[in-house]
Amino acid sequence: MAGRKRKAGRAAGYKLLIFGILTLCVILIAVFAPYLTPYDPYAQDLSNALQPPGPDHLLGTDRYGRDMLSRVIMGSRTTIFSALLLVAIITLAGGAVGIVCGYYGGKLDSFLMRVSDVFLAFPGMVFAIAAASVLNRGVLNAVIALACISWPRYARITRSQVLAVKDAPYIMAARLSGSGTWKIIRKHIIPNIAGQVIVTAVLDIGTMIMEISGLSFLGLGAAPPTAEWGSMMSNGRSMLQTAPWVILSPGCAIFLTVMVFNLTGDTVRDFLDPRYRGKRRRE
Amino acid sequence: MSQPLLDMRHVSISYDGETVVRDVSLQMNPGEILGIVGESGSGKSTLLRSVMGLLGSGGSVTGGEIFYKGQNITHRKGEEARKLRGPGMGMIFQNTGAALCPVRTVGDQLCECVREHTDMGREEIRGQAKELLGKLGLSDGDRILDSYPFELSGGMSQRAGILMAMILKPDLLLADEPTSALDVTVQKQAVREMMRMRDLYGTGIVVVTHNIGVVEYMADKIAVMYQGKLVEYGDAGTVIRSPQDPYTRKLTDAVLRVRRRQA
Amino acid sequence: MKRYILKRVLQLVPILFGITLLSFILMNVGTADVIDVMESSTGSALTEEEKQEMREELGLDRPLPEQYGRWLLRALQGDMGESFVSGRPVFPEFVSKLPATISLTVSSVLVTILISVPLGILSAVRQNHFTDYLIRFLSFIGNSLPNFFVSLLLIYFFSLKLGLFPVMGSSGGWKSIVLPTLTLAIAMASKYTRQVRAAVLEELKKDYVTGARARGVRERKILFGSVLKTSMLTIITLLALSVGSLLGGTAIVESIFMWDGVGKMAVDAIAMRDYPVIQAYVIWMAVIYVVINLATDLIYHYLDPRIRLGQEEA
Repeated sequence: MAGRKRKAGRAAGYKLLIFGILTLCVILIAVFAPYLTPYDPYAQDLSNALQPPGPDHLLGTDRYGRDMLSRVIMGSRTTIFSALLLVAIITLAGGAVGIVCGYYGGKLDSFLMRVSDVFLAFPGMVFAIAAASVLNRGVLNAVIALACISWPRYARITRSQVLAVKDAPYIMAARLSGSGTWKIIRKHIIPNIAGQVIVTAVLDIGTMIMEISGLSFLGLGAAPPTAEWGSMMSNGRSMLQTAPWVILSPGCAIFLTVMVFNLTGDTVRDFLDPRYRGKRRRE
Repeated sequence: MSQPLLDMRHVSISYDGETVVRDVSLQMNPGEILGIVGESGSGKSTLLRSVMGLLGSGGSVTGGEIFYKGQNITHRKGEEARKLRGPGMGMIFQNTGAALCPVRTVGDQLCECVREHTDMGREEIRGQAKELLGKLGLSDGDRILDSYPFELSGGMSQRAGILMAMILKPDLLLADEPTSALDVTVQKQAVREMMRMRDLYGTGIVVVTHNIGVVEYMADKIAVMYQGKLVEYGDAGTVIRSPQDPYTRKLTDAVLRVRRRQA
Repeated sequence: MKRYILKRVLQLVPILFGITLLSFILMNVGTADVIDVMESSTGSALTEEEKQEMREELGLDRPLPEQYGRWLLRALQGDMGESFVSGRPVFPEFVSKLPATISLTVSSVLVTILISVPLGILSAVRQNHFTDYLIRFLSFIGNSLPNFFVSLLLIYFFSLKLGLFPVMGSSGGWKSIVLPTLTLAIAMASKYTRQVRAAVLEELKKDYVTGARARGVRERKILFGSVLKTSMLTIITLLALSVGSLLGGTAIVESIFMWDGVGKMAVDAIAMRDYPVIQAYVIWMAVIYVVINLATDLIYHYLDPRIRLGQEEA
């Protein structure tokens, strides 16, 4: 029995390693973007506008003659960093609310849960579109708009997890031995619920990348000339017929990045969640 | 001497390459009751499932052979296996309620089962079902048939389970921990009902349980399993009175102690 | 059951109240002076006095809670203000665009069901076989494609290269709805196929499946008679929940395909900072979503005999 479990665990470990490295590569590209671009992503050269992909410009140029490859590399920064920031914000904010609600309960809990009900009543992007339109244009504002609508889900997950472990014997024991509330939360509750929340967060990164670039595509995120995948595609819309590469390069960049993050998310889930591991084994 | 009803020869079973049951040989005649006892994880339920051909994916009989009425059923598959389940052998589960689809009535599922094997009409099936329930001491058969599984009490749903398993009058009834989920008073009743089935239809019964009291009361033969192996096998009286294996001795001691205290 | 419906409808009241309050706050706290915005979006120049007069006329000089009260009262009567741009009342405008969005949503849901229910079931039944891997692979790809990219790819291949469907607009008869529907359905079906697969797998593991097998019931019958009947409950719920992301997703797709629905209306309004229009859009989409979720919940309760009968007895 033990041998098989270890084997399955090891396979998941290898998968995690591979996708982890891929994710790391994507993030490294974003971090070192300014050093990786072959051309200046913002330098316009109208004589070289709308060049198809070729040896000089591997992914072609846009209508201002800017190198697409450089812009796609540079755009990874905006898109990926803002998605990571967004996920970090909603995990921390939602997690904090969830812990407070789950641990203390009472009136504060019911109030905050009613508030989150109201946020959850807005269908997905609708509220984000409205919020982003009220705020001024900018990636950060798109992040804020999406954070507004996404935190309640994390609060819900965290709260139910806290409720599940709150009355466990080992926490009772800690309480009886005189540990303070903060210590119990830090030492016993957070380590026990972190797994599920992290899995949710990692699985969400891909979705968030799509939503941020979606807002930018609508003109609610990154303001020009910032290189951002969604707004690059929006700018290329009118040239779909004549210069499809202007759309295809950032589009494929989004697709591949989202895929890498989704694969990693799935693997992290399989790796951290013993239930999934056990399930696969028995089926 | 007639042919044995069930004959297992040196059967080994493994799940995903891991041996769960090792070299078990058992034999029972028509109308006999065989009790298999052992703690959880000893492989007794797995053995039962291998007879039904329901080991599930990952599980397979890796050695030995299983004969039902002289027919080798070890590796039968698909339709052949399905046709045997129901008319040939029926099964009673620990939790009968869970072994029935929660959103369909008992009668509906009973008809489905019977019509898979015969071309009886619904009314005819219901008639037979009520007759069988009558023999189990239930006059109000319609109530059980028109109920959803969750509406039945423990004792009622165990009767529904017996009904489901016996409606096609199989020669072999396999009972997997049939009493473990029941109250003590209902347990006794369920045991009597199963024995009544044997008396009425000459059904051979294999009952798997960790409750040696049940086995002692019902069984003609007893098999004791421990860690996937058969450690003791013989006539009920012999096994209870003079167990050979140390593990069996521990089990029977417990029963005897209880009896002494009651006396 | 009746009591339960009443209870659920009553629970809706605070949520609807919250929706309106939140939308009101969003539009009034987040924005600069409405009159200034109005001025810039209509392009007319106004004197300070004229502006002050308009503020008084619109009640904008009153405290916010009072403004909210007045606004809510009017909204309840179907008056959601006038568009800054066209000057026409917002609510009738919204209602007139709604059918286009609804038809797009309904067709996408239908296509989604047609794609993902059979594929999800197939994937579950053939678990860990080639078919399963292929279906999971495809749904994985679909899950990683943003809908605006899918729209553009579809336009590129089917409209520009093959010339099969019109590029945009809702005037081209049935052909014009094909690409927007496909776009929305691809994203939704990818997610939903996985959920259907998981739901069916979950049911296949239950004891009653073993029970039915032990009774010699055919696999096909177990699947269609029992497993699908029980997992349908989960499947319907999940579908209704995903309608939420669909309603949000229509905005982008409508504006790409120039589909004349409420989503495109909202996106156009954003560019013009036409707040009353955006506000109407947000509130009504939320209301529609909440009502759909309520309806799903009630259907769920009606379909599950465990709950239906339990309620009646109680």
